[in-house]
Amino acid sequence: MRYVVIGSSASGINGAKTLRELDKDAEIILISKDEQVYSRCILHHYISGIRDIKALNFSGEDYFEKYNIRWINGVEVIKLDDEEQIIELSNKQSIKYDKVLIASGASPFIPPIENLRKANNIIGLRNLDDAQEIKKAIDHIKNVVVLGAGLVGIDAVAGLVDYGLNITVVEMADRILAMQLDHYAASKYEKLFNEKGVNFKLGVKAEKLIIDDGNNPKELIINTGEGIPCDLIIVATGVRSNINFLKDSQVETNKFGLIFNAKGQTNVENIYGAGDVSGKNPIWPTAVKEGIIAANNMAGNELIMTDFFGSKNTMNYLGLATMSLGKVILPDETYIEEIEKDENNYKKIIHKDGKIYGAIMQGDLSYGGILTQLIRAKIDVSKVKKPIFNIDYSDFFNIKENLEYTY
Amino acid sequence: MKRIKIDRDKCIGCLTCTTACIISHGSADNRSRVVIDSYGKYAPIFCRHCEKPECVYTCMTGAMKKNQDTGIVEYDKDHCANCFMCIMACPYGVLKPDSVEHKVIMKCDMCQGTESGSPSCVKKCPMNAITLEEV
Amino acid sequence: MEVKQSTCNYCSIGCNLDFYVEDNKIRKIIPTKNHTVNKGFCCIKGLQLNRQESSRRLPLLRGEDGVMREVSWDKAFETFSSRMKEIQNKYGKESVAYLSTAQITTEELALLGFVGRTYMGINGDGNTRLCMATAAVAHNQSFGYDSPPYALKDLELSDTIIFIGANPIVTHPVLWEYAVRNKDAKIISIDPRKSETTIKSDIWIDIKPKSDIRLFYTLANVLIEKNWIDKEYIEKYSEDFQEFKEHVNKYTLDGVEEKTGISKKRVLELAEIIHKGKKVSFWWTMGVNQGYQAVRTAQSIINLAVMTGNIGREGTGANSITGQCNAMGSRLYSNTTCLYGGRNYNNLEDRKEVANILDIDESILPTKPTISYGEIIDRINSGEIKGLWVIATNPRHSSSDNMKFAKAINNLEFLVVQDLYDDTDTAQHCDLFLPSVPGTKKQGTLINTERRLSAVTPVLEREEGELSDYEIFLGIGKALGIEEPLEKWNTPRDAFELIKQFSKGMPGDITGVDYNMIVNSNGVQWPFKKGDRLIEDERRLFEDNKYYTPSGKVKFIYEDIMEIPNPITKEYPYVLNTGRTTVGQWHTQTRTSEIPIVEDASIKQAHLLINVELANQLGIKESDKIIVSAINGEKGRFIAKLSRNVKKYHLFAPIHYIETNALTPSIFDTYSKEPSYKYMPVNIKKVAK
Repeated sequence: MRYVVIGSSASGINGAKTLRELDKDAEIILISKDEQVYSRCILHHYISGIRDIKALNFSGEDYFEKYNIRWINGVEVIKLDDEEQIIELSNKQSIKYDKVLIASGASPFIPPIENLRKANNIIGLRNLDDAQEIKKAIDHIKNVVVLGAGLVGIDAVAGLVDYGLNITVVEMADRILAMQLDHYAASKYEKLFNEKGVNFKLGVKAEKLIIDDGNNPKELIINTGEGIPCDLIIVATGVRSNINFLKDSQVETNKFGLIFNAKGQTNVENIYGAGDVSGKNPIWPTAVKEGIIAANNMAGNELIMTDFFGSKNTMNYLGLATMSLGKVILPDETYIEEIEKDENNYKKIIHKDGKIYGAIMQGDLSYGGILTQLIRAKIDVSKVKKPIFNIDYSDFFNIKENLEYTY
Repeated sequence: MKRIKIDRDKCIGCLTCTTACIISHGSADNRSRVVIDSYGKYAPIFCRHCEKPECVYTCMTGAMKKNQDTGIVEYDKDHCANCFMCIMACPYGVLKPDSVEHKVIMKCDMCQGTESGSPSCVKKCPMNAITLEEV
Repeated sequence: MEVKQSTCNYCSIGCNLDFYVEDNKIRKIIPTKNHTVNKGFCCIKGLQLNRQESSRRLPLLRGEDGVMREVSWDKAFETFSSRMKEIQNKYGKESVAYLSTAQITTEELALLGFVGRTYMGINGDGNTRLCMATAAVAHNQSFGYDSPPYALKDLELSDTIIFIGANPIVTHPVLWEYAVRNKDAKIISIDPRKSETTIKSDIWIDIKPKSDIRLFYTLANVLIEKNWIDKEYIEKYSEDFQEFKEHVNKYTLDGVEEKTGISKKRVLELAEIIHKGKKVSFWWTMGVNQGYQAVRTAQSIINLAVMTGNIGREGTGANSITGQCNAMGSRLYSNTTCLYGGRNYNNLEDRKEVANILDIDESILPTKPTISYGEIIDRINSGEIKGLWVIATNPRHSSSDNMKFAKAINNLEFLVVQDLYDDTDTAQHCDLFLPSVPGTKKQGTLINTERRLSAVTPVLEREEGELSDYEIFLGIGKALGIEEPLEKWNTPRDAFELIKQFSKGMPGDITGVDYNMIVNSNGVQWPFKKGDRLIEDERRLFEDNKYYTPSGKVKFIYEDIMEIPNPITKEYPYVLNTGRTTVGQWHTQTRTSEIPIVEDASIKQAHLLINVELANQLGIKESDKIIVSAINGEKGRFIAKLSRNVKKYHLFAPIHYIETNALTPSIFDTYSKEPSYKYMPVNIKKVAK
């Protein structure tokens, strides 16, 4: 049996490892465009200089030896022949597979703003190369525009904030991290970044990039007519899944990306998918789980994804941590919003009919995981006779035979 | 592997386990805790070192790992990026950051690497409400 | 990071802790490794001492509009002095009094006794009255001095450990550790409630409430009859045994079960266990101390130890476990119930000596012990006392029959509260609030349950405007016009030197203790006379069989068993007992409610343990709201906690809630004037939904 795994990020690395755990004898090949294994979620720590490349590795240094996985790195998959079960690589190599896990991820999407696609120094922060390029540019630039104030955009800002650059964030929403935070929580970060000299242009659209003769960016014009000087633009406005190599195959995709079911199966036998390639923007743990689940099903061990709670995240910028879960803005007046705050802490819970639908914790996140589970499993908390902010596991305390907890 | 068995009915909420935990790790913080439910009954909340550890799945640096030999979910503070995703991921609300630097995850290590060698909380519990059992 | 060793100022064990300090903040606390007392362990309270912070820097004075406003320290001292003097001028010297504490240092207590008792000439009692007065009186009468004889290590050395009205697993976890380390001893617990300690004991003597004195007299009688006594010891080193023997003669095994709930057979067994034990130690605490016949009960324990020769040897003793961190300092050096050093107010030589040390006129020293805590409250209610100064205690909550104190507050013309917190149940009502600092910012000495002097080291620097209790006493003293005599009291170290001099020639002589000996060390137990060499860290008294009575012999003291002064009635058919139920909560919760770890594990409302069967009978379910009405006429709202650890007609309420002591009676021990907190007839009713 030969398993091939495409991609060396959360899904691929965990998928390949799981395959090895389930099948001691199989041949496992991992193919990646990346030359290193690294966690793309902490690239901003590389930019800021608090981590080197080695410290970005999330798999363990001896991963490939330990799990006996052949790693073909630095090459791209250019074609997948699902009939012959052959993968063609950018180095002209062809590899046969018995089963393949597509965990090829996604790439930054550069929006169709005039001149943006042809200018130099337009970087989407996704891969280590991007981070390296940004880091190299730091020495000889002054003005940076970050386009998009989602997690990737703010990560980029966090990575750059201590270099003395003139950073401007341009965002269409009226606040940063609009998917994760409400106005109050976002304003705390805006203030902290402001104090570090970061400018925010919120509720605006980028319309045109002024470039010089050498295609170097000069100024980004926004819809208010204002021009923002820029030598470098970090584009963080979304991603597109890496599915180009599937276009001549029968593997089904849609406008977002690869289609696979809760077992990781695509429409074609022996082809599985996991992670960002779905185009659903899953978060790290979802990608990990999808990788593990797909690997299980590939190895004949039936496992089904049950955790579809993906709209959750944590962030920790400038010493202020936040956890964001589910609905963070009151959907309508049938929901109830409860808020508890002091100088350093902010907590908000949105609930309805005894169930919690969303929460923000900012400041002290201690023991916040309980809320994730209550939201994910739609657990009725009306039996708990405690202030909603004090709910903990005690009222659900239940121990399994193997002494693990359960709900 | 071994897990700490919790007999809730024997727990008197004396917090000796919490005390032992803090002392064993020479720490400012506790890695386990005791809370009360809506009826005032004590519930010791201890890391279970889950078979399917959400904290491990969610860790984007590899700092949180399940040791297949011991079953212990180990945490490497030096590799941690303090993103706190594990805090969010733990379904039982076991994890928190340290209170001094707000960086390190307060994670039970079954007192591996402490002078105690095995869970100090278990050794100190005056009521035998927590015991170490093979599972 | 700097590491500073200091002594925990919660309970009487006196655990030593290493404080890791950076930028004048405590980063963490680790119990001092290899310390004789706590051996690198402690309880959650000590570990969280960093949570203790002053509530404010400046005093608060209530204006005519009733609003508290910040005032300068000078203004506060001046107001204190002028208002107190005004009241004294108008109503007489004793129209002012103070209620203090065992939660501050010995030096502070000594200075308070100097400013308050000596100079203001007023009554002033400590909250020690509420917990340890019984033991103090029992020791004084039986041993001739307030001298708990043991070293904690005796718990490790005993072959038979008997706990009486003591629940160390909850109240003194570090003391319990000593018993745990002793793997071979048989542990017996005598308690009407199936306490945590009884559960972990080999034998639980489930005695009827307040019948312990009967059990001990009966045991004494049995031991005598069986000739299971140490005749030689009795003869050589005790007095009044013959009379005692005749006294207990009437407490036979017949009838013992009816009175105590313990069968003849079990009493005999217990006698046999005591007889067979080579090293039997008896350990009592509040279950004994807080009773209407408490002193005699404590002495019935002392009598058992003496008659069986279980005293003055390792692993033995009639041992009173102290409550608060500095009850021992307060008992000897607060100048309240005795003259400094355990001296006598009537003894002319003692008076002269103390006056000489202090360089004052002997005539201004108090001539008698203070009136008791309870009496002070009574005198406020009768209108005799108009001004009250409360220091680091919370009588609105902790005094027995505490609604009496609520009434007293209204009778006062001037209430001063000096405390760390401005929001205690008492401080909320005061006219002048004097903010003090936590123990982590003080210097001084605590004396633990085994007579060990241990240093309180300022681990944090005080910030601008922050005053310790010591400095507040000095400020008040100066405002009152005490000039020259205060020069001997400039610093806590000065006070320590005075205390040493007070102790000279007394059983608790500490003239050999240099202050540096108790800093960063294991501390030093008293006695330690000038010229003594510290050879052993853990010493017990009476190894030489010499007691501190005039005859040098230990006294058998006894009396007829009293009837319960407030027996249950048809209307109030259940007995309410009170005590501590958690390690984390301390007394009235003023100090521990700011510890999140403790709060997470603490029930927020007053609650009551009720036997499951009784609850079923009364239709009460878990967490139902119930009204408890007591025979003293007070009522309280509690949450019902169903339990199998209280007997069917008994109830148990934790003391950490203000509702509890509304129900406890104004009944006191005859000799110690300690309140009877442990027996109150009550009735309960479910609150209609």
